[in-house]
Amino acid sequence: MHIPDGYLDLTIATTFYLLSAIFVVLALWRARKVLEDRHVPLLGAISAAIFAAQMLNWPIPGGTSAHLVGGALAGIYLGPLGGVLVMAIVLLIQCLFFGDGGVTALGANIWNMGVVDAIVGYYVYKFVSRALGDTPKAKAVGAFFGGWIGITLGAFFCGVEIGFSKTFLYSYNITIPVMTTWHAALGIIEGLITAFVVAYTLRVRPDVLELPKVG
Amino acid sequence: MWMKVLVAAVIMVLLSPVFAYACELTGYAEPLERSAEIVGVEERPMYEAPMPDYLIPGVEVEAVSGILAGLVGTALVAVVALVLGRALRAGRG
Repeated sequence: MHIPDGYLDLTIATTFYLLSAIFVVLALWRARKVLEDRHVPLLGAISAAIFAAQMLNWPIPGGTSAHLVGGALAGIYLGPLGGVLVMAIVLLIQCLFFGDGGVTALGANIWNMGVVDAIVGYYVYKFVSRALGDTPKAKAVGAFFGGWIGITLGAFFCGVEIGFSKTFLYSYNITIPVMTTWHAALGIIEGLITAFVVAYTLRVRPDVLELPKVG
Repeated sequence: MWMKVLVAAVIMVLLSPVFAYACELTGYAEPLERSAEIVGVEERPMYEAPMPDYLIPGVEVEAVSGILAGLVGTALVAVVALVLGRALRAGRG
């Protein structure tokens, strides 16, 4: 879902750079207040794992592919704003070192896969988990919906950004449905992987998920 | 415990060429690329990254190139995240 250079209008690119910057600054500020020593290795490990996981492209029958984005996962472990930081780091390095995602599109990419995916993913996870009783199973189900809905909404925004750009001939009536429905389907995989990772963590190191969240 | 996560990350990087190959076989394209195709839009690269498309320039075998790039990226991300985490933690006093 990394938008390359050339897809976005300058106005749209700038707008989302500003929006993302606000959330990243907020995240840094909140992190300063919340982070303890024990968060630091988690931050490093999750960021590295998400970067690595994003390198796996899964071919999907029907001629498309999907790769894990992981924003919701980051949010579930480190809190909504903690997740924003994780994804901002991953996306920044992907952009600068590997050309994955355009430099003009970085703001939009951080918005879609960081701000939206992590924040929405986290709150959906919390809401569903709580509604189902906060048991490990409830949390796995919550993680599924967090992962699924987070990515679908992120894709929706992606469709908005490109669809309202002149470069895309203002084709939002195409891009929004295409991006949203495809990722609603592919998002099920993201949801399942998110649920699996959370369930596994709850089994072997539940304390990791009890750390104070950056929110 | 963190070592296990790092090991998992390294394993994923090592597996990435297999997935890339599978995608090549099936002729996949991401929904974003499909959208661009439908509308008729092309990328306009504006920046030259040192390891474009997760390949190390000069390393002939694509799988090896990809793995090396992935390992470099994973290490970079880990280091940046750790340094940032430490800096933010230290700021609390």
